[in-house]
Amino acid sequence: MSLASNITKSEWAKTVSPEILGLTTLAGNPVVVRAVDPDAFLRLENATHLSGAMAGSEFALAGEHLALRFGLVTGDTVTVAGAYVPRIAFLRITGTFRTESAANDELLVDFGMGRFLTGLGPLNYHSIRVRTPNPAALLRFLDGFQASVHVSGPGLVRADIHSDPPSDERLANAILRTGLGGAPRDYLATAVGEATTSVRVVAYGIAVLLGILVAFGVHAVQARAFADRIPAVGVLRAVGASNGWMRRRLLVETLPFSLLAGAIGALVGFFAGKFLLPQVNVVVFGHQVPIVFDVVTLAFIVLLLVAVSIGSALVLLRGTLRLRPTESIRETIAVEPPRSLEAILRG
Amino acid sequence: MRTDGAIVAALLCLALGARLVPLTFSPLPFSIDGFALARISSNIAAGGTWRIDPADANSYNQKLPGFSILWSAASQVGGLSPLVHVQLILPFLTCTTVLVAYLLGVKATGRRLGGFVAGLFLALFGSFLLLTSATAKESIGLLVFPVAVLLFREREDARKRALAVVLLLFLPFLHSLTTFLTLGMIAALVVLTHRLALARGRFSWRALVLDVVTGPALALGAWVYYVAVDLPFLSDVLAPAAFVLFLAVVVLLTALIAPTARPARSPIGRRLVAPAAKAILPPVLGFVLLLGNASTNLFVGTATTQTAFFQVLPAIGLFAAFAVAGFQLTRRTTNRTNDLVVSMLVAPVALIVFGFLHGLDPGGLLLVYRAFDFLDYALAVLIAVAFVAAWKGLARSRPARALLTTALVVSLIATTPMAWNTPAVFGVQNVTTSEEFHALAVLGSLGARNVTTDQRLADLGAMWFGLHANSDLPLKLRDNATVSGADYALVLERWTMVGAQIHPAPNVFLSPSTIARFLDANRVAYVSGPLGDRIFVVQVLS
Repeated sequence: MSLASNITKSEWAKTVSPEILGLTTLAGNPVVVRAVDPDAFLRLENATHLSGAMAGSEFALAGEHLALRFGLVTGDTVTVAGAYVPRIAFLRITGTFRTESAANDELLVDFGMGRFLTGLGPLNYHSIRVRTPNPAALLRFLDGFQASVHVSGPGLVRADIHSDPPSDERLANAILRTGLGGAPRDYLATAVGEATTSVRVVAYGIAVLLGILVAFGVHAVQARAFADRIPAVGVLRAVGASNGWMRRRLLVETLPFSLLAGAIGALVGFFAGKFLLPQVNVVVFGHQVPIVFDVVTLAFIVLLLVAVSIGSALVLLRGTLRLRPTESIRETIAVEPPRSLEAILRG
Repeated sequence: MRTDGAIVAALLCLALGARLVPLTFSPLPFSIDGFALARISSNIAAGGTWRIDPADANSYNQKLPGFSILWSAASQVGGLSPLVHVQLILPFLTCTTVLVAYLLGVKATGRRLGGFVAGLFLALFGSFLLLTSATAKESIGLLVFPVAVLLFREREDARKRALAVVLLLFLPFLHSLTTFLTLGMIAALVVLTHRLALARGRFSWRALVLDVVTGPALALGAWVYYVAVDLPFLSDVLAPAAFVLFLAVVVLLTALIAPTARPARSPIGRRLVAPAAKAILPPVLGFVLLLGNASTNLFVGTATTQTAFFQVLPAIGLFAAFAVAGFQLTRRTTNRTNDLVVSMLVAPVALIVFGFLHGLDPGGLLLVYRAFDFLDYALAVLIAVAFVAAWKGLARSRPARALLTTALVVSLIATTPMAWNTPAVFGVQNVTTSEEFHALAVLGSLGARNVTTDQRLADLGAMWFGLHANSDLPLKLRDNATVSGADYALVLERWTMVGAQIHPAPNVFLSPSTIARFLDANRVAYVSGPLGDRIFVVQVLS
């Protein structure tokens, strides 16, 4: 006898909904397929019947949002692939429903189809949801049944019965098929997913990205220009210029040019954006970027460009100051002639 | 020559002794795959032919028949048992890996001490010891691939080029990963050679074409064969997205290694070896990932870094420090092994990077940990270079030299649990005891058709006994689910202590009461082993 059927027989269990979770795609978009006992599930979810039949031995019920997403109506046929095993199935939508939970965007199927798509064995479920007025009795039962389960819910302190706490979130995952360990997160996908849904993260992220690109560009241009002046630095140092004097001199030369270049660049960027705006919308991760004139932002951009230019100039100068003046003047770095490893090791 | 002979003989004895240790655990193959290879060898000996049966549980190993055909011939000529004697004979072959290491060490350092250290490293380094102790295709691959690479490197001699081609043509039938990495190393050698020739104005299209045809282009033959036999996993790498990623990694690393054809320029006054060098980043990243994997499994569905592994880490850290120092010395000097070391490093690194980027799943983990040991020859050379440099630097202090030698030997011994205590270090049991084997034999004599047990014994039952075995018994027992679809079950009492193996996932621990309840509910047909480590053959009644 399975754990689910034993819980169902218990007096304290008002509603028991054993469920199997599968992940699949419809038209290239992710979809959660949930195998359920429709009566128990819909009761537990306080679902509203919208169209078609809500039961039967073989069924496929589409949540309202899912139906909206894919333009599904009762009677349509959809093709779904196996969640964790190579399977393919054709489902006829037998009805639609509405819930206030995430299930509104899910496809409900019968257990036979759920097991077929997930490869889960008979009497196994990924989760069992129970509505009970007596959670303590549930915990006692699970403990006595020797079930290895994690229990959580409203009014309940999270409990790991006959099992270690999961190492992280258990979600519909390949792991759920075997129930092994915790379902590890795909950190990159999670981070990108979370980051790109936040306007602030996208805005600042793009700003930082563009800033880095601009910094590289500024540094590359200055490095090219500075390369011609390395011998001059060597000459100045040879005639007694100190490192501090060199830095001050460089700052004095860099500051006005960077200020001017920054202001011109920012203004050109703004007007170019305005000119292109009717025809070209800048859309980043689904967010449209408006182009507005803001003095503070413009000043910040100019200041940033000045800072980047000064930083780049100091970095370039530091590299040159490490060279001997003769190396700077001749434009050849004094390197050790390569020695033989054998000679070094023999001594 | 007499001194060389004595050193090599000592290394061979040491390496052989270390590789015979698994025989003290069990006379049976020290790897589950070894049973498949022994079964195929046995069938070849019995039938006189090699054939691929797609329905056979051993079909994957049948498609890579190099090991099995050689072992079948050797066992027939020597009158040996393909199963019982393989674990005794194989170490005699794999211990010769120290010869190659000695040769590389001497070539790199110009000193016998370098050869000895390189040989000692490969004789005792735990990870390499594990692979060259186990009965596996890779064991022979690790012996053959450096020979092929060395021969190709000295390809000015047409005989050596021809021998390299013969070995490269044989490798696809031995082991796909070895083939892949060897061809990668050879491709890197071609890049380095012709980059240098280009810089010196001696580039020749003819020489390039000849090198490509007798080197990397042989991958086409391997690819045709693997496609013809439908080798599993090949499609994973050749799928468009994966292949593009792989090409990107290859292009990136090719661009990175091209300048290494010449020694790195070292400004006057800079020391040859410095701790704050870029070379330190890969080992640091490796350690960070290992530590990270201890708290959360980076690769989906696989085990985390085991606690016992951390006891080995200090020793690995020491070798990493030696290797980084050796790398800097090799890169900043002129020597005879720079291109060899770079090429032997870059191919496994490419696969490891690909394994990480391809997907953090069991497949990715497989690529990462399988490719790692192909770095060992290059690491042996680098460690030897650093050791000899340190040895020379400590010339005035004998106690310091003694300390250095002791540190090397103790660190090597400290890594041997990676080979001899795999359940603790990796969470994977490689040993099959005679009692377990006999229990499976009993199942065969009972006429069992469908057997359920853990992954290790299920694989063994399928590979050697041809049983229809599934490995979900521990999970069903843990989840209190009904065991169905099996006539018999094989239950180990040790599942309560060390867990049931379901590699690559973490072991499943069961309570004694769970096992007792299962035994009570069904009929125990056979019991063996001492109390606490008993093996039960159970007839499933439900």
